[in-house]
Amino acid sequence: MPINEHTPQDTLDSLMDEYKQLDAQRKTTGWGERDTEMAAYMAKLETQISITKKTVLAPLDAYRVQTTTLADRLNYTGRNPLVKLASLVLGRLVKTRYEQSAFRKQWTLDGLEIDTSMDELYRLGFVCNSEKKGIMELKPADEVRAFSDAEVQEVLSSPYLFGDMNMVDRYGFMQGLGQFISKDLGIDCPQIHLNANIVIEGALHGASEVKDARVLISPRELYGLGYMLNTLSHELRHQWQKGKDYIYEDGSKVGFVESIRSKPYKVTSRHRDNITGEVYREFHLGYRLAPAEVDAREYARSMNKKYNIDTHFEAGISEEQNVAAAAIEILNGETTLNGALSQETRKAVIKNAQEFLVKYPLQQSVLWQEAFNGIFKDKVAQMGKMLMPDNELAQAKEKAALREPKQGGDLR
Amino acid sequence: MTAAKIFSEVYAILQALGGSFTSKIPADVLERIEKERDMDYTVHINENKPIDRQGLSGDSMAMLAYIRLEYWLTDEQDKQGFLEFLKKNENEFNEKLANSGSLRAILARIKK
Repeated sequence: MPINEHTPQDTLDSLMDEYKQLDAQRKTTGWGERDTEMAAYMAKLETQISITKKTVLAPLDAYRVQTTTLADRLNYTGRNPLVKLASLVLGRLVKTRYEQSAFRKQWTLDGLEIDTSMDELYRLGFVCNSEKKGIMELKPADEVRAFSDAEVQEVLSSPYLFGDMNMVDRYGFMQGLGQFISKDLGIDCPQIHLNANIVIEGALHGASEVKDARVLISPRELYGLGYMLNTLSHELRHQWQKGKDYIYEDGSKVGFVESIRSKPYKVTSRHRDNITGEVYREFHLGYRLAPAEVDAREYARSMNKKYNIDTHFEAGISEEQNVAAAAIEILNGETTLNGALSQETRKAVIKNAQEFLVKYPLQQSVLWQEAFNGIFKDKVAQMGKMLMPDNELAQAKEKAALREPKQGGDLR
Repeated sequence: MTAAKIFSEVYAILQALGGSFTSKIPADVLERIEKERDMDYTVHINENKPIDRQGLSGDSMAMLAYIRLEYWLTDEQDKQGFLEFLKKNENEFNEKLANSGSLRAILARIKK
């Protein structure tokens, strides 16, 4: 924004400052002969302040709706940089829709069109009103967790990849991303496109087709989106800023495009390091709850076949794990599937998911590290030695090097 | 708890978990568990309850944690995460202990 361009908020601040100064003067020394004149001036100031306040706040107030806000969900991990990134990405989506005339109409109140800079929109957060067919609406900054200027600038000034994409309609964001990747960069990367599309598409389906939709997008989906974009943006940043080659952990160098083409999962794995342990655990919580592989695979097959859905969620994660995670989300009421399916089908999916998840509580718990709360590392090492004494461990390693692993005992 | 009883509890859990879990454990290890267990010690496992509600001893849980770490987790990052989790458990316990009145009392007595 140009330095000397004033927003309604600037005007309001200026008026308030002036009023406070005059008020302080009146209370201390007064104005003597000019008392009546200055009192009239202050009354005018009060009127102006009142009008300006309405300009700044009233239109936003009008858009308060009774739904769970994205910000409510963000509070769950309010300081999480990935969530911040993801919300900013979604903020771009809001921007796109705002720029369309249909949405612009929604953004007027009583003939008063709001002239808000786009960067401000990012700070506002938004909610989704399901009754209005998925149209994103804005919430006043004081009702949501607002990002500071510094936070916004920090992210916006980064060379993330979504700056100049042509984003149109509800699928447009990820189509734009896909086009950008495939056409502009010449990378054939359908997996990432597909996964991302599901996240956004599902969220918007949830908004437009489920009458009682209260959650726009779950934290896990935000992680997924943020995670994916984070990975991509790191790759692109590397390409743009550091040069042409991507260096793997093993020291080998590969061209950036080639790296995505040949080892997509390697890239994902590499950049998982950029995510804090806490985020990583949260993101993968659903996967850790996944029951035994075989059962999950069966479930995945039946779900996909029965409902003709594709439950792939993230590159590098198996289908069965994704389905298990999806089942958990269904039960949590946070799934993207809810909106994409009819009510009747949704009920059937929920029933299936319930049956699936309650069937194997013991197996699930073993996969979940929190089940081992209170167990110490030293004790685990001690029990490991009991299970496999050092001399036997050495022998076992030698044996393992010589033969294929085989199964043993009655435990098979 | 004796080592044999620990092996019995771990054996019972592995049986309940089934092939998709035990197939990832090397034969030598499975054989050892089976061989060392206390045949007279009966362990009741309820498959409808999570593992931390089976009433297993801490040692048995620690052995299962070892198995989880060594054989069930395949991703290095997951392994590292689990190790950190176990370490965190220990640190939290030590912290609580250090802050507890009883420890302070013991230390005060030692100082005297």
